[in-house]
Amino acid sequence: MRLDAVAGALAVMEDTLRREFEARLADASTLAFRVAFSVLRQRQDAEDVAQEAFIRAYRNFGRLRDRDRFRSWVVRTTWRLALDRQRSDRRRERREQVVYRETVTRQTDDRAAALWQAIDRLPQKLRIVAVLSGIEGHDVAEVASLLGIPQGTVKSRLFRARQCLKEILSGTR
Amino acid sequence: VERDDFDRALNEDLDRLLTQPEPSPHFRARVLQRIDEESESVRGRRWFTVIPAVAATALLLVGAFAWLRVPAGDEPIVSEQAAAPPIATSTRPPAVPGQSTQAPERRSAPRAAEPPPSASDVLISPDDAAAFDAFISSVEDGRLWADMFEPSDDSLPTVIEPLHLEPLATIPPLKEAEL
Repeated sequence: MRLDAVAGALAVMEDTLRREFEARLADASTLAFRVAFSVLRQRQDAEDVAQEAFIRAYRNFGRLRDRDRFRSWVVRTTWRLALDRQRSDRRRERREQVVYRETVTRQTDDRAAALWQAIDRLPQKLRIVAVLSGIEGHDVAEVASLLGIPQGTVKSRLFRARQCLKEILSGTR
Repeated sequence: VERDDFDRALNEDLDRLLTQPEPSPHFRARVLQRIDEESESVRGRRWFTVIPAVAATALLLVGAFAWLRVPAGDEPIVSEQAAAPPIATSTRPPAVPGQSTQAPERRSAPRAAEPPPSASDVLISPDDAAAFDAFISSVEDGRLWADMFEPSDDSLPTVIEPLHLEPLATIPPLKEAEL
């Protein structure tokens, strides 16, 4: 087989992958951005993290065995990257003695700020379930599919998350 | 009712918080632009990864082909002489007929388990090897020269020079007084 034939086949394959990826990007970009935003609360930071997640998704796109689970892969990667970014930001802010919360509360009203703070205090497993449930319109099946866990687990975690939020918001916790 | 009210209010708040933010209109374009930039660099580096891979694959194929070309019975057989310690050509004295050497002991080693010799091996007896070594060392030492081994002209009759034997000198008998 000649080299130009190999190069042509590679180009066709790359073009096919590219078109598939663009379709998945259009489908999951808002979801990934909202997941990142729920953690970072900064539009630019959230876009940076979501963009990084999609870049990684593209690098692994050819090897993803089940491409229908692309959304799930992107959501989990975005969530992990956002948490990493949040930790590094907080370390940097502690070094620079900048109060992170002030930035958030200035941009939102008091009720929203209280809810964000309550969400931040949730354990990780409950937090992502609560966030995805809000983003996905409280569809338990969709959240279970995104996280790759049973629906019963999603329901129980969502119940516990609401209990925790109630306690936090009512000041009993 | 209170719990339902709380859940409803919480859901509304979560909806308001989590579903309001939208990525900027240029978000997808920026992602695709970064992918294009990365693809360009990957395309440039592709040959640096493809060429070694192709070379390694070709090497493996050639090795496998060469290995398959050699039948199991044609594997090189190490002969007795090759397996034995090398014979020193310069220090070993010429073989003398009747003189015992180490070679006969090796020759008496069991041969039943050895594979049959192939046509490519040259098998000579230890005595022949010793004689050959002696010949080589003699040539190297100048005790032999090539003219010695020029073929003689067999067409000429063999001339045997007559032997002339001188009679033994007669010795006069000793006298008793001389004894």
